[in-house]
Amino acid sequence: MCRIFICTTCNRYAPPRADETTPGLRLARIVKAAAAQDKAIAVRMVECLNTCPNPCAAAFREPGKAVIRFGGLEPGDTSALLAAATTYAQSTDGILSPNTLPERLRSKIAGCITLGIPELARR
Amino acid sequence: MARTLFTNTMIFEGTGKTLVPGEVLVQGNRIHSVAKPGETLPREGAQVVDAGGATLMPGMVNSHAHPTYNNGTSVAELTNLPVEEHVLLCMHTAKLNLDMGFTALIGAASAKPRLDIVIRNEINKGRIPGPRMLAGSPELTVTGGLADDNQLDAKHPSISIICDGPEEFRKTVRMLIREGVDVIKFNNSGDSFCYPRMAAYDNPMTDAEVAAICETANNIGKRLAAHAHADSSVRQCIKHGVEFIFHASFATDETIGMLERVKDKHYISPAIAARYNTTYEAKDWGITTDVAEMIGNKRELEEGIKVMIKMHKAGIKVLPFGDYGFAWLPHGTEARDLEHFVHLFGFEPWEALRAATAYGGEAWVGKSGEKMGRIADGYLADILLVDGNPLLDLSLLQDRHALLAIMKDGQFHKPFQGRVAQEQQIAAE
Repeated sequence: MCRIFICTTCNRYAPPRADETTPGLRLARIVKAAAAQDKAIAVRMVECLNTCPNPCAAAFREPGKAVIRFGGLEPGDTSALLAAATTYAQSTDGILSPNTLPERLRSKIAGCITLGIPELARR
Repeated sequence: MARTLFTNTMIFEGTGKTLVPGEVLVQGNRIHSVAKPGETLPREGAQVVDAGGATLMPGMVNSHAHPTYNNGTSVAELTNLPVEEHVLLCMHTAKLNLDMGFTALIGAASAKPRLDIVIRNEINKGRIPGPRMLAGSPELTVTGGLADDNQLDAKHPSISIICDGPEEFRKTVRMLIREGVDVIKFNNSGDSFCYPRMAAYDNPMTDAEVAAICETANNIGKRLAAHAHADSSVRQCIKHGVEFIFHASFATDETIGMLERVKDKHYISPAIAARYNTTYEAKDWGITTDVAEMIGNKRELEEGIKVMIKMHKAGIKVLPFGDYGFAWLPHGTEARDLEHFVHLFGFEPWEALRAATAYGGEAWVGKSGEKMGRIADGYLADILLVDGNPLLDLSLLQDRHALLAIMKDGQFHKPFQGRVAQEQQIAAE
């Protein structure tokens, strides 16, 4: 299984009125609905993914794999995000070449963290 | 006395390796009884909550909390925040903590002297929503130590109270206790956050100063916490009975051995996210991994991981969470620490959850005789219902939509609306 973490706070620096939905929450709901039929993908709606100056944000995080974060996301990236999540899930270490990602996501990679693999990996 | 019966649940007791099916009866503000598999509890007069197979677990305890931090990028942002706005911000943060399943906090330092105190008092009176709180003092530091931002020719207010010498510390500790703190916090090490002033592996406080702080606080029954990266800092904490040892990044094997012999007297809170996020997820705020390495933060992360692995193997109680409240590790994301405990420290998921609940509750109550952090008879009714099995997927606890119900002190902060109702609500939105 692969989990997609999506920030529901984005845009932290332009908070909405009380009766409005944040762009991050809107994106999270769209992605969650799109992923509903795929039992291998779970969506986690979280409070922040630390790309606040570049909303909206998503991340892939699995044990023993690189952490990949995305910024600047919009609802039109949904299909690409789901496809990338599948690629990530199928990889052994999560270290993905940008060429393996859908084209519209390649410029939206906010970071790739490899701490925990392989030198400190437990699994 | 109000009664709530949770039925059709999978229970994480707080110390168990697996979930166990059962029922839980809450009466007043306590867990009255827990049914074993196959048993049922009396329902007369109780609000019955059919949890639909959701996980029932103790509320989480943050033993290194800074609810007065403002998700800013610098200490100056904290000190420049007027106190009126700061109080309101703390109120919102307190609610957010409870919204994210934290039913208790141990204040690890207050950004202004009375902020933790007034928020704690307002929560205790039931006037604002928030976790149970132990109010922390501001950081006590020495001239030139962590959180002394002054220069010879310019004063810069900070989040600390600066003392030099045992008697200044005695007077200040007494003053803070007079104002109403529960926990006295002092900085007996530096940190990369104050680079280049005082490195994490340096300890600027004398033994006499630490002794004065601890004797004065212990004399009046108050708790103690220390910002203690350096090896000598940890040894001072052991020698003088400091219960909460924060960071301990550079503890040697010999010191770990000393700590192991008195492990029932101390809790270690590495606050590892402050190192991890600063090193790897703060570039949007100008802190690249190279910068983190230059200031020493990356080394604190790498050494801290090694030390926590050893401490965990030695049976020392290492607790999650801590130091959230900066821009790149904001409030509301604390539960991600549980992933770090598994992926970086080698904890099993149930061990990470035990640290967040049973051990956290034990730390919170101290010697008071109170019971917190477990699903067991007589324990305070601080309870979460979770949409799934956190022992299989700890990330559930980062998603407020997966927290189906939140109960604190026997009262619902977030009432249960059913598992199906939750899914429909998200779909409808």
